[in-house]
Amino acid sequence: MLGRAAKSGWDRLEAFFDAHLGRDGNPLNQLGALTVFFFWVVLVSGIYVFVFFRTSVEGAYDSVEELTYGQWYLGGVMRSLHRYASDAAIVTIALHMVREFVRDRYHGARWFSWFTGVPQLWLVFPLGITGYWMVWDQLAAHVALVSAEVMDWLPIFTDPMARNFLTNAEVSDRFFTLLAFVHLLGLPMLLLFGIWFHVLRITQPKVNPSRRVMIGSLAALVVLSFVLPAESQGRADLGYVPASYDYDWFYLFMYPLHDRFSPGLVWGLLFGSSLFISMLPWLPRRKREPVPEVDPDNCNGCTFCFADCPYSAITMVPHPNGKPGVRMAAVDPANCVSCGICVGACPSATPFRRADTLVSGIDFTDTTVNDLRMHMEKRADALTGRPRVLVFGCNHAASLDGLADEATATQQFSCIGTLPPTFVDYAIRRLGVDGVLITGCPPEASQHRLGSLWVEERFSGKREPHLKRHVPSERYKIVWARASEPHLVKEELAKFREELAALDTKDAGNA
Amino acid sequence: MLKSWIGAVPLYALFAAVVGYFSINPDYQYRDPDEAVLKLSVNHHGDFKEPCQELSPEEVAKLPPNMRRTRDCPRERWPVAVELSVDGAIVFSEMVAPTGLSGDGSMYAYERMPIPAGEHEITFSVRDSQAEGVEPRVHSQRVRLEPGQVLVVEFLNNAFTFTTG
Repeated sequence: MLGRAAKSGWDRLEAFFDAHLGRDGNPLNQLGALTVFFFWVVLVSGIYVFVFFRTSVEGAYDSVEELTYGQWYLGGVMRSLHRYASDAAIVTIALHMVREFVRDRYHGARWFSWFTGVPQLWLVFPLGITGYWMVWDQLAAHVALVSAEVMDWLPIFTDPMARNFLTNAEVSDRFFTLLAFVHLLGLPMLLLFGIWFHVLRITQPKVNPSRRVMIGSLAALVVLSFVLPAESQGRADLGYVPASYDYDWFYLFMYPLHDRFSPGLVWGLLFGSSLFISMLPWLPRRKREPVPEVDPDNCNGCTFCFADCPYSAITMVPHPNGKPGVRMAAVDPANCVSCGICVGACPSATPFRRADTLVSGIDFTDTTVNDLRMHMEKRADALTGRPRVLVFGCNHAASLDGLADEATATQQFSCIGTLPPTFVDYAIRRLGVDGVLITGCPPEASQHRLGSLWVEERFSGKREPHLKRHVPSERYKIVWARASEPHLVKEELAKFREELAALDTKDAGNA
Repeated sequence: MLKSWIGAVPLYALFAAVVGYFSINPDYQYRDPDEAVLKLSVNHHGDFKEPCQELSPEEVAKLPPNMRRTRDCPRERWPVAVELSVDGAIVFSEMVAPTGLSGDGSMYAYERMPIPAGEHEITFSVRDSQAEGVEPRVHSQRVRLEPGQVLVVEFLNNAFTFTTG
């Protein structure tokens, strides 16, 4: 109940952003990719800052000050961009996690991406925190000391790290060489490797946001850098402690807990929350959906399903008929999310086949394409009004409830990508319906990643299996609508009906 | 297109405002305005728990030729008792065990604590051994601390040092 409300609320938020920014320009549709983009901004701005950075106790602070004020128009902006892009990445990471959670995209075969995302947090935060050390201002001294005290709670050091920050005399130039290595090379390299691992099990991962989102977010951060330039908080002095600090709460939110309570609480929260988030995919939940199965007799090894699966759940294996070079698809249940996109990709899933029972090369075992054909025929037959319209929808997008009437029949799929294009052809030419309306999640926010995109490409002839060209384009319509946008489907259906009615009048006139 | 760009401005402005605000706000009040900071640090070897014993010629003869020695010195050291008091009130008191698997290494202690600014009598004592009759080494010093000033009291290389920032 709570989960459904959260999902609905999030969907409405995305719809709001869609309305104001356009789907392509909506950053909520591409939070993971936007985080990677911020990583590149951080990297480029960081390299620029490091060119001028001096790895010594005095030089660290002085060089950053010279950059901030002596070269405010570029160096200062780069420094600010470096900080703000790092902060923005925390925002997008948090939103990315919330989005995947409320959209129920973290368990089953998706456990891998969720689970491998957690260690990334353990890299991102130290990366940001060590960045604060490098400036070697008063905040840096505080962060270094408290970080050391937190680390000292772990039973791994005999000599407390914090003793390295007793007085100014303890801090040497070598400290900054070590920091530079960790902050500039070690952690970023591990993070890049982690990102690769994070998207390893998904096909065509989106690692770059749309150009509009890149321009918009970069412009926002550049403007912020000019309006509110990042500044240091006075040269580090371990002999004096300011009463307060301008705090970066995105990275340092745990530090006050250490000061007020104990490092044990900090570690408890960090380990506890990481463990809890990591284990979420394995919490008890409702029974998983059935996984499609391959029928060797009907699989010709075309590889369409292999190419379309968004989760790399399909591999091509030697066909059991033993003929050399002949292959067939095989589904790995561990990677399969039961979206059914492979079913829609199978060229043998055509209702035009003459067999009494339609058996496809790859199909669900509970609701088969044969069942879908039967349901479609039955619903089309029952239509008595004019123009007769079939609406194909998706369980995760706008609901079709209330659309069915004497002239409209509806049919829903686990993903609209499950719909073989030949079903539309069949409905129009064989069943004589006047039009077919196809609806599903917007491609930018598809529950099953690539399902809606593949539908667009199949219907426009860019992807196999494509919709035959002889199907009149005015007889079908694709409408993308989120779960929170059923009114869009209703409005578009009403328009479509009018267009079809006009078409029929014209046809009657021509006759 | 232009409409969506115009629509984007307030949303990106809001995003930038959130990032900019929480990047430096609200202030973190780290200490009270009239507080200073006291850091304690000790790095010291406690006394050996048992003294060296002379081995008899027979005992030496029993040892493998390459391991023969005239004295047997057990490695284990005593925990070191560290105590710090400010104006007579104990603010830190701990028995710190030596490091190392055999308990023969140096002991380390570190603590950071707030202290009211002003003049204080600081007494720092380190007791190397828990054996009877061993007196602690004690050092007392009067210090005056300004708000925010850091006082480091350290026992290192068998010597007390009081350093103010």
